[in-house]
Amino acid sequence: MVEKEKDKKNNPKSNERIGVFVCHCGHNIADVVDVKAVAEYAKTLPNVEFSTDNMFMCSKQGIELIKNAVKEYNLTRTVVASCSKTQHGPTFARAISEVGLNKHLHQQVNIREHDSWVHQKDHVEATEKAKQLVKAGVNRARTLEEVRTQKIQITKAVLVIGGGIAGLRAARDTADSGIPVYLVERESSIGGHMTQLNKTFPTNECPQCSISPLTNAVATHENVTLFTNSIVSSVDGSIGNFTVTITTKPRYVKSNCTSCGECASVCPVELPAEWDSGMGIRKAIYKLYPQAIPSTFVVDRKNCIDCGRCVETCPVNAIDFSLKKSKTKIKVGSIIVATGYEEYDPSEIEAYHYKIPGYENIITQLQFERMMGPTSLTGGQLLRPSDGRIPKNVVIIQCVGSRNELVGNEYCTGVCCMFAIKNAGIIKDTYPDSNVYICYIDIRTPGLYYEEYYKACQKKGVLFIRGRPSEIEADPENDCLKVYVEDTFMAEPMELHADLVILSAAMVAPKGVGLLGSRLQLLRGKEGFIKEFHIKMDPTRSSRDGIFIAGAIQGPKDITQSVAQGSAAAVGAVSSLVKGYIEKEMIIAKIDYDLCTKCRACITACSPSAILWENGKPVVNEVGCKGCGICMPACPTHAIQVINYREEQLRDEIEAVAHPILEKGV
Amino acid sequence: METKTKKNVVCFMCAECGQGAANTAGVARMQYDTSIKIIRVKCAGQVGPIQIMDAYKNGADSVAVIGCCFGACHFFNGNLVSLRRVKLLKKFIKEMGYSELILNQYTARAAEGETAVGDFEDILEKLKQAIENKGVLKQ
Repeated sequence: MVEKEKDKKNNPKSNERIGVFVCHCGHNIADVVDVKAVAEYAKTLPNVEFSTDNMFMCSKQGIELIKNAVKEYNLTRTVVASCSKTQHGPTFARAISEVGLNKHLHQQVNIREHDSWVHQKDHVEATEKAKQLVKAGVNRARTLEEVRTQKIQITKAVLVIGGGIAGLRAARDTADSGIPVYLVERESSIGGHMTQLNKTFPTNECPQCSISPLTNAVATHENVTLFTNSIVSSVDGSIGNFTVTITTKPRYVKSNCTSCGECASVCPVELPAEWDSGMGIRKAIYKLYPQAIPSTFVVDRKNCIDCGRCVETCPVNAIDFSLKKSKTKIKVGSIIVATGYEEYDPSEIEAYHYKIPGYENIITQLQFERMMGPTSLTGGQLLRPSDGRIPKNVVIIQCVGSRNELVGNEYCTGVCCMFAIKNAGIIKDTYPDSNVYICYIDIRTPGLYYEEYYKACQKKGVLFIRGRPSEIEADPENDCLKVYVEDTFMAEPMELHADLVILSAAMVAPKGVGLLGSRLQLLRGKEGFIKEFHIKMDPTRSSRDGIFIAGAIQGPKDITQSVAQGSAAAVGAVSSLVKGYIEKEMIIAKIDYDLCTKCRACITACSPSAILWENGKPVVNEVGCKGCGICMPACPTHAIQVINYREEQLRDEIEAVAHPILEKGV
Repeated sequence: METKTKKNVVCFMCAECGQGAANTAGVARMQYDTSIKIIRVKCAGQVGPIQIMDAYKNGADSVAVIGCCFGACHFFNGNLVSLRRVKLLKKFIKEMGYSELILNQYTARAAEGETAVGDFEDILEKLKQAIENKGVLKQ
């Protein structure tokens, strides 16, 4: 008590009444930290009028406890020692705002993630550390200021990056709710990977038939503005008001193109088509695929030889080589990222010899899909790329590039089992004489009708071998490939003679996502996919407010999941816009003009350029200021301070925390 | 010379990746020393010489500023600004006759708790080195 009075003398000005609530969090905190001792200790701290512990502070009883204590003891500040500020900080802040306190007068102390969970072996020191953190929290709470909330007008428009199935679904659902959508697609047509597929599992439906109503609806929607052949080159601003620059590569074909195809028929340049994964041929002036939307042709200027035949042939004079790269600046309120995936390049796995001369008969699943497509070079037949013969023995290898620590991908792509089963079934249906083997580690068919689909495939006579092939070797004598695999059920090594090998390559993050991620300032996981806000509860929100993610950019997904996430992302993007405004907590920098020497150091330091020079003094733009506080150390006279992160407020916290733990028992 | 049984480290961790990494480490139950104490700041760029010197004054043996990865600052470039400020202050600490190993700047990734724990271990390792090299930390 003597110490308490002494401390009170040190803080003569403060007559705040602080309540401290220590949470057991079930066993999570109480098993390590002596919560009762912490609550008792808190009572000895200056200004603390009420202190208690509770099993679950976030439960209804816990919230009521806070509310009643605030009323009963006339508390002006609350400190809850429990989990992290991001997890339940808002819960307690809301509770005190319901009994009339400003929600910024709540101080959260993290004794779970920063204490009990990381010091599970050392109960004594963990308790001492918890006491110290609570003391720091009380110190900090004593000087907390009220923060007002301001309404900020927002732009009612959404940017969707990526025109694949997830992006299209998100664009359609957003546009249907009456909000303008800008859809940016890197390729010359929308549709994405789904249009490349031959059939979709588990119904063997034609994907083109499923997706074209959607592509048509998006392209002709009154609320959708389509940017094809375009990328997002810069993003500024924050939730509600993003300014985005879109760079559009010229198509060299004007929009009056009737898509008659005369130009392509006279073009002398022939190239392997990227959209066909090399299984088809395109000209230097081309359309991605027959149903492509927009159906305008596009010129590949890198491979064009400038012969001018297409310009002469075009009946509507649509071809114009003078078109230039253009930049469009748009304003949007939310952004949906749906850039999808890329197929893993198996040439990294040397033992499989993919893309090596002499091993032309090794293809990936996407190449197989293109070969079996109705518009392919082979006319929808399965032929060996080396000699055009129908293969007798086909070996499908699973988990190429996924579940493989050697190439850095530990995750399971999840869809390979299903499309391998689908394709094996298709081969068996088309060529009943052929032998189809699937070499797998585990067959994973979760979901409705998937296991049934697998059973049906087994009945067709597809052979399943449990084992990952160690090597594929060319056998020129027998004109086949030897696949070495151990059947782990029989524990015997096998040598399969294959005429064609199909690799089920993994889904990986697209190469350009790093650049896009840094433009959007999004977090990414170590696999390269964009990190969601919470893996279970918020899979469509990204780490940044106002930016949502949909489809395979968050992780490998099948079409069903991508579509569902596209819709969910649309709801997230729209829901923050329908009100017409957002509420900003005004935790911003304030300038004390009595101290300001007008040196302009803060203006130089401010990276979002939110401090402006007006009427001979620096002025903080309240909407632009993010409250990061980079300006604070730059100021030589401590004139500029961020509310609730002022130097003296931080000092209060540092004072408590910087003391060694066991010296004097805090 | 003061003799202490327990070392004492103050880590200023930014509210975004810094706190995120520490929380992820907690969720994964990665264990580290109790001498590590974390102060939540808005951005690593907010921590200046005043805060760092305050920490030393109040008994910290080592101070670290932990922000987001370079290029991933949630504001703009707070982590780079912080790196520069810490570098300058290190020179100053050296001039004063202390080991520069007691002030460090790190980056962490919110998705990977091991980055934060790795930083903490490095801080303690460097502090140990500083004690071995110099014998004393404070005069």
